[in-house]
Amino acid sequence: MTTIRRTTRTTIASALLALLFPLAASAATTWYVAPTGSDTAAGTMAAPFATWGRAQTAAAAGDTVYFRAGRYLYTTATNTCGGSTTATVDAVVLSKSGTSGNMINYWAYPGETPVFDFSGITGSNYNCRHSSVRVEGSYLYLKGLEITGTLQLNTDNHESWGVYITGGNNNKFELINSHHNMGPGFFLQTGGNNTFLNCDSHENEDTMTSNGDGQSADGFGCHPNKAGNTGNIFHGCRAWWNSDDGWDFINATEACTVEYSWAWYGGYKPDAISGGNPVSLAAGNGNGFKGGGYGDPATNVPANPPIHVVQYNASFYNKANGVYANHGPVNVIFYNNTSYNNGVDFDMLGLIGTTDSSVGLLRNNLAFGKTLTSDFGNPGPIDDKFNSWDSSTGVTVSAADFQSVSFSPPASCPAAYSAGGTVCVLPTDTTSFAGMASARQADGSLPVLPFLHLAAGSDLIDKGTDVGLPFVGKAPDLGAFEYGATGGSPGTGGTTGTGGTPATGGTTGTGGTPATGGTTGAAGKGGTSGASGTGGAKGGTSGTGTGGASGGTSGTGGTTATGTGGSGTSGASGGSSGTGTGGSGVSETGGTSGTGTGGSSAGTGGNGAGGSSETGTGGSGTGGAAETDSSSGCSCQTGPAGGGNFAGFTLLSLLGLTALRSRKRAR
Amino acid sequence: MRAAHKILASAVLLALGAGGVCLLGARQTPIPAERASATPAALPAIALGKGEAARVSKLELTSPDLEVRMEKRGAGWELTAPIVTEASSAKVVQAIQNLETLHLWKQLDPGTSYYDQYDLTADKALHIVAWKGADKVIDLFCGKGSSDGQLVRLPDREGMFALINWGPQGYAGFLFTGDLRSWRETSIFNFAPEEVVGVEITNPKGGITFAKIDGRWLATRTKPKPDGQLGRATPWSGFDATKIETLLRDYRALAAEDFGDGVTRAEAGIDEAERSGGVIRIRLKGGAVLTLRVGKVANNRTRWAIKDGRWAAKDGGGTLYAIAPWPAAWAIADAHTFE
Repeated sequence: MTTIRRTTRTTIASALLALLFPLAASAATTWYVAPTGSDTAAGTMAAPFATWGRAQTAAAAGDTVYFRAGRYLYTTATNTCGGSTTATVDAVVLSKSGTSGNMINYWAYPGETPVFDFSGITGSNYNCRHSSVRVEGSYLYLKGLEITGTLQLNTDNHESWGVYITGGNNNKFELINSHHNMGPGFFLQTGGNNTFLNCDSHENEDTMTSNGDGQSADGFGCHPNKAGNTGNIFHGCRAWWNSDDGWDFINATEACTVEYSWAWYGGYKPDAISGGNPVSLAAGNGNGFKGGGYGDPATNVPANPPIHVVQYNASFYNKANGVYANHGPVNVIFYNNTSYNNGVDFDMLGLIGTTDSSVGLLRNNLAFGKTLTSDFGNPGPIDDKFNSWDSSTGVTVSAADFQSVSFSPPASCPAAYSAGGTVCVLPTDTTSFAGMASARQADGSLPVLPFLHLAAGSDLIDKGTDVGLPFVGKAPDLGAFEYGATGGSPGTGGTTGTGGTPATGGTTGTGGTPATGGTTGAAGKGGTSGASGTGGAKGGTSGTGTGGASGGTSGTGGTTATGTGGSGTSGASGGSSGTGTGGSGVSETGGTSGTGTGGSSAGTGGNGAGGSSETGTGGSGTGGAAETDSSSGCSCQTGPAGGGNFAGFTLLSLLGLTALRSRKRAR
Repeated sequence: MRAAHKILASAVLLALGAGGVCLLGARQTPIPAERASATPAALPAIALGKGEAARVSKLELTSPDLEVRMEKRGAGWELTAPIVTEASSAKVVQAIQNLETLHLWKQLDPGTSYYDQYDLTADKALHIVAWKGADKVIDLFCGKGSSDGQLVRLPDREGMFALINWGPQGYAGFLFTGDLRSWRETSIFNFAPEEVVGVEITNPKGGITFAKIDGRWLATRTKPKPDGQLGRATPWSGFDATKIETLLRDYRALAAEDFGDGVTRAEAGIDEAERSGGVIRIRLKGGAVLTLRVGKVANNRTRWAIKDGRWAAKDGGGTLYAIAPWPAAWAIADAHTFE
């Protein structure tokens, strides 16, 4: 009896506690998905789910879903074409949202590569457009996933889509590798504040198309179609061997930004090499960075078009143009881009009304090889200064200005292009494409290679003009890869960043001269709040170390961003000094260069909303992801009491209490 | 000549020179740093005061596509137009908080002549109205986006203005858009599994009751009689307790895939869920009971319902949800599912 009383008191106490304190929100949960899993399993490490959709159903804001390695072959979509050859079916629809402080994470399990292969969605039910990963939700964080095999099954449409954003905001896509899709690897249609960080999109081709083989498979498409779809940014991404363009911003209602990214082999048939050369596709546009333009100048052009930002990018060996204004009506910002050996390196053909024009705000750009510029002489607002071709800079560009301009494709590919096909150049191949398609650094940033980096003594160094972004030396260099480290004494860490105006990114870190090595640089003092960010390039490696640096993306949160110090590595040869890191929506001057061999760490601003704290870290760290914004989550649901027949429950309670009493008595 | 007048004059001249095409957007756009320092003091401050977002009691958004109204109800928000249902409090709060950051930085035109061109007329604009009680604290017409920022007009002052929409202190237009579905609360349940003391499932296959007593799950089963009524509950020990934990993980943050607007409860099989699907009741410490009635399969009735998902409704709630097949499967499960 005593035991019963004690138990009863405990129950009552529990009930009172439950009444006194609102139910706590569910704690963050980790879910697991594996190709060998089951959707009727528990979603644990030991009993993983089988599909993304199942995991989404289980996940709540703040949860993390880990995808284990292997091939996730999709053979069905969430809907059917309904008899229409132009309808759209979706394989994965991410419609559940996280919150500003609690994103839903869909991540590759550490050290593993999950491959989502959509090439099995065939048959008459799916004879229309395909969207492999449609993103409708917000505050989602996708990381480390491989997307491939998106199909076209008829020729009634322009393209299908690999990753297709049709409404999500404040999402982050990091290290997503989208390839061998019959349409763009990434296509943003609607949404704002989406960040694409260190993503790759390659070997995509719309072979079954209504407008010519290859004309619609861009690496990355940014085409926000609603007023207010601001803040979309691509940083540290690569696009290669896509049948259309690397980046395409056509028909955008709001501005997009692409920075610190590379594009090559646009306009060629993926995985096809003939006589040591890529195979041209007649319909593939073949531009590296296409900044703007509208499909129909008579009806589609907004009255006050957005100004895209294209800065610190490298574009090379694209069939048509390296950097292209694409009949845009306004001066898109082109800062510090390197364009090499494209059909034309910089083509600023604009269109105002129905009149060919020249447009573009160009500063500190570098062109080399083949035809440097085109369409700069038409009437129009083009503003062109401090670029390598401008006489005012007084420079002459030659191969000697670069550490390397050697570039060649692979001798052959293991297979011709096919949806879901085989990657031609493996990450371990540091020879083909000058290594530009090789493995990223440990923190996900782009590999550091000599290709197109300025050589010591180049007269392109410090020949640019200050455009409000960090640089090393007396003035910014020309091109995408800033030079200017001086080897020698131990590096001193960066200083605390200071907040300022909306940032558009930091400048590239500087490549070090192979020189005398320094010792470890001290990390910079962290600043205070900023929006989410992830680390930029790890700099300061031995040899020709280059500091990466990254710009911030706009956020609505943070104030002072953080400077990050370079953490140099000691070595026989000098590293490079780090440069400022981008803030998260605020400019900063943090992370000033060390005088020695500091590497650089670059936090890139995330798409934070709300105040947040972030402290940059020296070296190659990833920036803090802290990002808070007060938003009320789902309230705890208490529901109506009763309503059911709880005879069984009563019976169980009695059974339980009896059992307890028996155990107590037995002691 | 004021800066705004200069801009307008330039625009007119350019337009004349280019065949009448409006070239407001063709002038060079200032870089962000220039934008940030170009705020004329004469422009009205229109933002909510800092901290005022929490006091907003109603938000109305009217656009050509949709007219929605959200009103505060206790700690949460209710959608009161075009339908009455629970609103996504997270989304509403985030939008309202953004109203604290509104900042006009430029007047592009002093009159009304550009309203139509830039979608600032009442029939084209997104009209944002926020209320604090009976006081209108935000009243703003948003038109097209532009290289100068978000174009807006005010109800009580002529002119076209630009609103900062970049950087950390800007208007985030994407927070105010979205279809009706996006403004609705999709969360059905939100509880901590450790708060659960009992689970009961009733469906045509019988009844199963689990009770957690002193950290241990116990169960009874009830088989249906030939007349369809449930028989006597009997103790049952042949179940796997981890299955109950899995069920609770599925239900702790249960969310709708879509909503069954236009579908009746009868069509959805909600009222007779014990026969057409199943009923699941989750008992929490303190006596609260969460009840979900799971009805018929919802295939082909909504764009977003997952194949083989089912209709569902909470007891006491009028909203009809489409839920995914996996959580629905627990409600229609038989004892073998838990073995």
